[in-house]
Amino acid sequence: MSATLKLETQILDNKVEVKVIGQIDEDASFEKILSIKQEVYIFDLEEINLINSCGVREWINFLEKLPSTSSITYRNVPQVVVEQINMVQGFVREGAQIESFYAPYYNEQTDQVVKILINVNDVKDGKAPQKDQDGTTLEFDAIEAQYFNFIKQQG
Amino acid sequence: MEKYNLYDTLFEAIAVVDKNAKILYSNHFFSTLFKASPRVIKKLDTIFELFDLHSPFPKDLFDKAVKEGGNFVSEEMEVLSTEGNTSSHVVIKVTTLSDGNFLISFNDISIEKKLYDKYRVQLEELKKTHTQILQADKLATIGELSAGISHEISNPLTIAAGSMELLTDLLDEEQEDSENLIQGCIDDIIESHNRINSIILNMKSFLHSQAEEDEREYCDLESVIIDSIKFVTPSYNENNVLLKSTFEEKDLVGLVNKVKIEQVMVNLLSNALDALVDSKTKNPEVQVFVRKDRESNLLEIRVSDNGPGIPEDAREDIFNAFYTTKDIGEGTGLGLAIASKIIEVHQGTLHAEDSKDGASFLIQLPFIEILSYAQNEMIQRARDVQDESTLKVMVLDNEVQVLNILNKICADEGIVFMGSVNGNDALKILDDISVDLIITDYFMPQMDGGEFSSKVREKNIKCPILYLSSASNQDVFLRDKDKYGISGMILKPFTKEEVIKGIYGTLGIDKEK
Repeated sequence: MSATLKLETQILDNKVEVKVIGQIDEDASFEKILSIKQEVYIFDLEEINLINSCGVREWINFLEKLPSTSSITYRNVPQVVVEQINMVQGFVREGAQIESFYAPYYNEQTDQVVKILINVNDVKDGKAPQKDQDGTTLEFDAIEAQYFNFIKQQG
Repeated sequence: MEKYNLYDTLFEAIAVVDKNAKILYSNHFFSTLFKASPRVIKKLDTIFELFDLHSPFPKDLFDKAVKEGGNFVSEEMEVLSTEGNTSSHVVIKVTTLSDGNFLISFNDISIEKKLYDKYRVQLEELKKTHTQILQADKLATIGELSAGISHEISNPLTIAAGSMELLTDLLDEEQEDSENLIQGCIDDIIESHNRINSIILNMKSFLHSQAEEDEREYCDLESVIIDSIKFVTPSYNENNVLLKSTFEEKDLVGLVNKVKIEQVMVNLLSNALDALVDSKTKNPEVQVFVRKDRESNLLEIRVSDNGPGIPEDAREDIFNAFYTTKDIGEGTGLGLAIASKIIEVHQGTLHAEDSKDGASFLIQLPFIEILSYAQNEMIQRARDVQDESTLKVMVLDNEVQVLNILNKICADEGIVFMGSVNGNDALKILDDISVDLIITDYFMPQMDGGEFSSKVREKNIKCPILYLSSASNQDVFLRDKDKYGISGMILKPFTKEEVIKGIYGTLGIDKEK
């Protein structure tokens, strides 16, 4: 297993919550999760700081080994992962759900880009939900059609 | 810039700039590569601003494209993201578009670069580990044989100690016939010393340094196998196991690494001994049988025992690393895997045979003529000098030392060398492989140079032949000169220059050119 990838698991009832921390690259191993047989898998990806195309391949291989009847949910998906999901078919298995993800917003007052967690359900008609910070309305800092492409993928 | 929207569908970072390097369009992957939002990109005056000072945009390429038009590709370079926390390894291509603008594409090769670097490091580690495993296996074998070796050393030591005791008494007593007895004691001590020395030398040879282990030379296989047998004999004697060897014919020469072949033989012989001892076989016996299979041009070394044999389902597994039937601590499980690898490197095979009366292992090595030819050709190919003009020389001499010297001289000259110790084998190979020149020793036990040359000519082979013999044999050259078309003679002992001159002179090649 990659020294730069950590998997923290918490099993409750028929559900396992996995916090994925660090880098998903060619050395990533998900054997630890495969040894757990559960009906519901929730992946918290908030602390992933890098994922490359080899890592994506490892992730897809891992998903194929999970029982096809199991339910999969992703939450707190960071921008680096959203970019990969938009690029590669299969990163989110058919039937899996993305619950929440981070998106870049620009604050003109402070001239800063902030990453804001948004719920998938808040994205209506491919438009970014309005977000405010200290009374300032933020500007979505990416191309909506491309950034929200993954929402279409998961149906 | 809707006309460029097609680039949105590409999996490569792309920007279109005008002649002042102002970005007119960029796709999604461009934003991702630089971690720069469309808002940031829009504000830039030129694409150059996205680049770090330490790894700037290759402006010379862009200037060339503006001036001359066409396509230009940069060297591999690093680009930093605008956030400064990630970098990518890319190749940049500048393409002149028909509308006068310029397409700049970034081929991200970060993964390839990372995997390549990692592969190089891991390959080096593997090489080191392989060397360590080879040495570990030898040490393990020494460990397993140490009981027998110490027993074998203690025998001559006992004799030497007894002789010295007797010497002391004789010197004290001053008996009349003491001189003969003293001489006998001294002889015994010297003999004991020699025996111990020989055992130690065998051990040292077995644990030979790795640096010399990659060299292969023409060796008398009989002596290599006898040395291996000597090495394990103490253990066989201690366990009362009979060890027989049969060599079907003389001149069993191999182009091998002596130390490595010894390692293989010691391994096979040790395994056979262990199997016989563990199974408490009655009248335990191991046989080594060496022969030449002239139909398949293979030299065969068979090691067989009369023990319990190898179960059929284990026959394939035994060559896998870490597979062992021995108890924990008694075997590394590497011996046969290493042995098999060593034989493979010699372009041969090692396999377990079906046998109802015990285990049997068969080593098959190609005849030296083929092996030397193949090896030399491979070396020349590796040096990238193999072409139509590469010279191929066959040398026939029953002395392996002569073959080794001539092989070295030819290798240095980039000449493909094919060595042989047996006239019949050489003739057979000449049916399949053509050479530019044949150099043959004259006096050889089975077939002399004259007979060999006559048979070469009978095959209608017209290449020049040189005799290799001492000055006193010039008369045979003069006799055969016209009879068999012998072009000349290289006198023994020869120098490197004489051999080179002989080869090039006979073939009419001006070496300087």
